[in-house]
Amino acid sequence: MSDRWTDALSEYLDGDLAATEARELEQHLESCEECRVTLEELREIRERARSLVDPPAPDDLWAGIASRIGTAGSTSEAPRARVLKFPARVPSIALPWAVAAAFALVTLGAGGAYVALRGAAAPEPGTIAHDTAETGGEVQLASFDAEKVETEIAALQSALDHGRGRLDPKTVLVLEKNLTLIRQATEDAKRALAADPANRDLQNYFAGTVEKKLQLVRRAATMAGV
Amino acid sequence: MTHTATWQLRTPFPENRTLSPILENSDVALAARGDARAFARLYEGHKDRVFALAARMAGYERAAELTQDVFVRAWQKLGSFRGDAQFSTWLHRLAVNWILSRRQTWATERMRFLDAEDALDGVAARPSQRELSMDFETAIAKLPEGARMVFVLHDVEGYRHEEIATLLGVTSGTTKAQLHRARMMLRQVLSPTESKKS
Repeated sequence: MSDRWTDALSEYLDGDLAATEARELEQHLESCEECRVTLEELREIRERARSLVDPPAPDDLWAGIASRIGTAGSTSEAPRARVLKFPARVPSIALPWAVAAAFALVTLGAGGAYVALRGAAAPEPGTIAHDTAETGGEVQLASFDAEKVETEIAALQSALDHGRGRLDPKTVLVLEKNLTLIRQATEDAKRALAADPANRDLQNYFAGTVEKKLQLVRRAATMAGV
Repeated sequence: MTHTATWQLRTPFPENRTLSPILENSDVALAARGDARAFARLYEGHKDRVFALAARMAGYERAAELTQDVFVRAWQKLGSFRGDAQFSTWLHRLAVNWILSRRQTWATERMRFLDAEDALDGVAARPSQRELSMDFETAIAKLPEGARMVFVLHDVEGYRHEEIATLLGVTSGTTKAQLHRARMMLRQVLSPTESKKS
């Protein structure tokens, strides 16, 4: 085996060798079985590298990331359901909108297709289940961010429009119906909070409940292949 | 004999298999605004790819910490992500740069790998099909650092020599030599007798 040619085999394999040199190497290969064998082995090594399967990351990495970026969340645990009571104080001026928003969300929550996806314990009567995957079991105060919700709704609607041609029309109908309900609930929530912006209970309630419904629709959309 | 180069630069990270691109873009936008839950979904979609890259470039013993570092940096830098490229491409480049930047801290540890021409002697020759992938990963891990970096970036990740040379601060001639060295050493997985002759 000639070192001169052996050292050029990888470049030849990758098409990086100059044309003149490549032709000379090909002439050499015709008479050198050892170099031909080596070339095939290098080719096999390269093919193995291309087809490597990624090893899975350990399950416990997120907790460390979450603590460093300032959130106590963990995606290594399945979302758990907590029970959050209705806001204790809803002023009379905000009540109609709050009731309207709650009605829309409860209606949405009754969608049987998504209850199965939720995998959470059923809430007690008269209460609303609050998804606390990010809170590690503690119910945290959160602000209702209508703009964020509307961004998510727009993204889901866009994804739905994008996949409309290949999705089951019934699936599209169900998802759109639920997006409409979330839109309506968001509008009602905005009105209720505009009437009583300092009400932390109301903020917390809408933030948790709307977020949960969005997650359910997102998961349903993902499972449907949207 | 005819030869056709078929190796093309591939997308560093495959498309997120959990979320559609539209939903992933939405998560990127939300995470850039501080939504940790959206960032957690991005993490779930890309953690295996980042971990694998770190494990192959830096070793399994460092991969977990490096993966966490990469995602923390991604969280901090999401505001600078303009959407010109896919999020996966941006994250991959961030990961490669971070892993390479950490090389200095491994100086003492890597001495045991440097120029260890017999480093692959412990790798089983002609493994069964089931063991093939694992043995190949083990063989890659035992390569000298310079050769391993170039091999992983070129043959596994699909970078070009010019890009690797820029990342490593060397010439493309050096990266080509390192790649050939790595491949020749890895031949021991296929045929230890043959490679000893070369």
